[in-house]
Amino acid sequence: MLSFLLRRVVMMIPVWFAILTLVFLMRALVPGDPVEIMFFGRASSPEVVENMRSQLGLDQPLYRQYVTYLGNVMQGDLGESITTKRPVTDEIRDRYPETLKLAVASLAVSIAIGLAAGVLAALYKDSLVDTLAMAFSVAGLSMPAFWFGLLMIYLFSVRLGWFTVVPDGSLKSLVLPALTLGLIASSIIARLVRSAMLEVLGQDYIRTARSKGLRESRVMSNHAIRNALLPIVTIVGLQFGGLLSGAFIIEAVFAWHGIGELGVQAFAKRDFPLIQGIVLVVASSYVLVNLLVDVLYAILDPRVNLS
Amino acid sequence: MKTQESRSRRLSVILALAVLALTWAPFTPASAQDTPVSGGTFRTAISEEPDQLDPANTNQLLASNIMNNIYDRLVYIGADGLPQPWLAESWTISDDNLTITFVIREGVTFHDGTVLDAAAVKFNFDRILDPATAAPNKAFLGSLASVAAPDAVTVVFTFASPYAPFFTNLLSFGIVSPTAVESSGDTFGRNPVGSGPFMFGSWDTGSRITLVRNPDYVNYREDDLNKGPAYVDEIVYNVISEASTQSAAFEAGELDMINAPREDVARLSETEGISIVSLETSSNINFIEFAANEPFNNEAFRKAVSYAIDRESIAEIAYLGNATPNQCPIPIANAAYDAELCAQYGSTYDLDLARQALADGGFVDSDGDGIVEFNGENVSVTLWSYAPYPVQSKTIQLVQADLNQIGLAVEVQTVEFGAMQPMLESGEIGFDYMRWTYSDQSILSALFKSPGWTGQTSDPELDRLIEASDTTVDPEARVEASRQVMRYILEHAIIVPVVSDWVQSAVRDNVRDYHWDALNTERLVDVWIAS
Repeated sequence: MLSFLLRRVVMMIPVWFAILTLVFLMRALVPGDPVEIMFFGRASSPEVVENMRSQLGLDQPLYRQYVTYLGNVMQGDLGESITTKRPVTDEIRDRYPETLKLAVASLAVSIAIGLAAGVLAALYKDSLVDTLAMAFSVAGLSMPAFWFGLLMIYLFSVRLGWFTVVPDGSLKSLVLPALTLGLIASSIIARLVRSAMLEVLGQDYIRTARSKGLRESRVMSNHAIRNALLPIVTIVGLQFGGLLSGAFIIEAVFAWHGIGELGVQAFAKRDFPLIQGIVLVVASSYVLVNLLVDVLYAILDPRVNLS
Repeated sequence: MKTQESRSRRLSVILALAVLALTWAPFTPASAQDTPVSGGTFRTAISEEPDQLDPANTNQLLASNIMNNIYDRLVYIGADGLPQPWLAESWTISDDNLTITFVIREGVTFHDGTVLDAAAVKFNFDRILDPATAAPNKAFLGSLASVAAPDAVTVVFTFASPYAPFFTNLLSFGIVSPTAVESSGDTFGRNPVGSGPFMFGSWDTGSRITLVRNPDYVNYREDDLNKGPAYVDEIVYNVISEASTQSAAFEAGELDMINAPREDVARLSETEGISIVSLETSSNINFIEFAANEPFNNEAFRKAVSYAIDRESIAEIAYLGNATPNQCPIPIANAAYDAELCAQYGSTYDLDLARQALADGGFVDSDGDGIVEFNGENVSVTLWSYAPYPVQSKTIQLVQADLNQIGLAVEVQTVEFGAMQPMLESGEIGFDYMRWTYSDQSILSALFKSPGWTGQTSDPELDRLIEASDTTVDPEARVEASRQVMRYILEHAIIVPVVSDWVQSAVRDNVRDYHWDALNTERLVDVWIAS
């Protein structure tokens, strides 16, 4: 197990390298330049623009910028944001915990609701419960996040006044964005749980378990759900990875200052060092979550052997 | 020597209010009846976090809105478009227009206790002139060559050539504390120290910026009501990128003021306890600009477009009535704005004249397919604007419909803001709908002086006229020179001006005396919260 983990962590190094190279190549492909954008619709002079470009090292050929950047990254220096002039690590450190909080809370909501709805729908297949659960799932899948978020704000903050619109840093301000994101994510989980459960419930070992005289709750928890969880862990892992990259729309609607919002702003301004830093962190999160999923597999399914 | 002495206009508060309201700056209602009270927090929203709050290191409008509360400046621009004394109590301009000598007011200190004297002012401008600072607003200092401080109250600005926009451009240069710059170094932009009515309080990254009242403030501006410390204890700028969320927070009572989203103006204005304050004489200008390639470099084509612009409908439909049709290639707030001149030399909506202009230029539909040809080929063009602004998209669609009617095959397309400039410079964008916000007549120079801001302008005669406007330091003569530029632009349809959209805020009724100055900057020193 330990050597597996170590190997996976070492494997992240080429992944990082590939990401940095790709993001750097993006500079050559994406139109727009941070200095030009800074002066878009504002007065400037060629002398000022030239001076700024040389201060930022943008007048160097791309390969040289790349080499310098890689060298700095290897020393743990992600550079400075072009717009705020703050270290990229500071910018990310200020935002990432917010994204993490929201991701964990939404994940909890989506798993709780998705699992409950899916299991109930499978147990009471073709009943009213099933229809309701699946209708809820379709609604969650088809509702635009933006619209749903605003609706939540309007209902719970503006009309009922239960929550503030502007987050005040308390746990309470986490509730609405986490519910919104969690409800949307749970619709996929509910559908998956339902189909996985239906498949498992038809298996011989469930019939065996029941015929042994096991209580139904025991059959469900030890035999059915545990087996049904495998495919669900994969999708939940993917969802969590997505949440960690910042749910930009929800972050914007709830004025939640996470990494998604930061990324969109950085891209709009072509703040390349910041974009690179964010992509690096987001990609690492994905890799780590994948690793976590693999470990979970081994725990859930004894047939999976990590060594 | 021309001398501009500090003028004391002895107007009562009520008279000042009446004059201001009638001429240029609307206030929140019912301000004159009540006596201002101190205390409370003024809560508002900003759509993104500013990059810095250091005038030497930012050119963001958003940052300057906040900095206006922290820093005072040498002069401000009054309703007449002329510079008025502020930190500088007077100034003289040399006969050759190459030297401006300011007398700095005595007894002013920065928030950190540092004395604001001539040496501090010199420090500020030296810092911006220094190439090592890479100040994005350095271009606003034009031909400024050096700054000297021969004694504690005298600052001498020496120019390489006469530079008329200087006084207005001082808007970008709040005076910062030299001691604080030296002690904070690179982090000064997040720990700003000035001498203004509000001191920097805190910066909660990504979430909010808080300013606190400067209890020792003396306000030397004649155009403000309040001559002492600000009334509110704090100003809180909450970062909320989504306009609908700003509206929701405002309606839920969590904010006292927001920039009113155009789509919400009608609804909010009917909501109890909320008023919409509009600044109709804004520093905004929206226009159609052209590349230097076929058919856009053809004056007949541009003239045809200029006749096909239905400004009234655009203001009414795209801007929901919150914009003023503008035929001048300059914002309405500008001293050189002249509706009569622009009506005379510009074009008024007339599709027949547009068709005539096309025909005169050799654009004719000879094969009867409804689309005009030029050099034997159908004229098919794309009108661009930038995303994601509904008003830009709606406007180009309205223009498209009219251009189609005069026989031009027009597509419309929007492109992400950041990707637009290289496309403009390469000429890939043939014509587009653009918006600028600018306080000075030198907008003409910034936009059109060769090679133009898009790299597509090259007109020696236009350059000569612009040069005259930029170097005529006497304000009235300068207005005349700028009008010559405007006339030339309109006669040759170099751009087609469309509308000036309004600056609008939604304000809670207990917020009093919220207003802007002549250059569209908020004057929060006057704001107070009624109980």
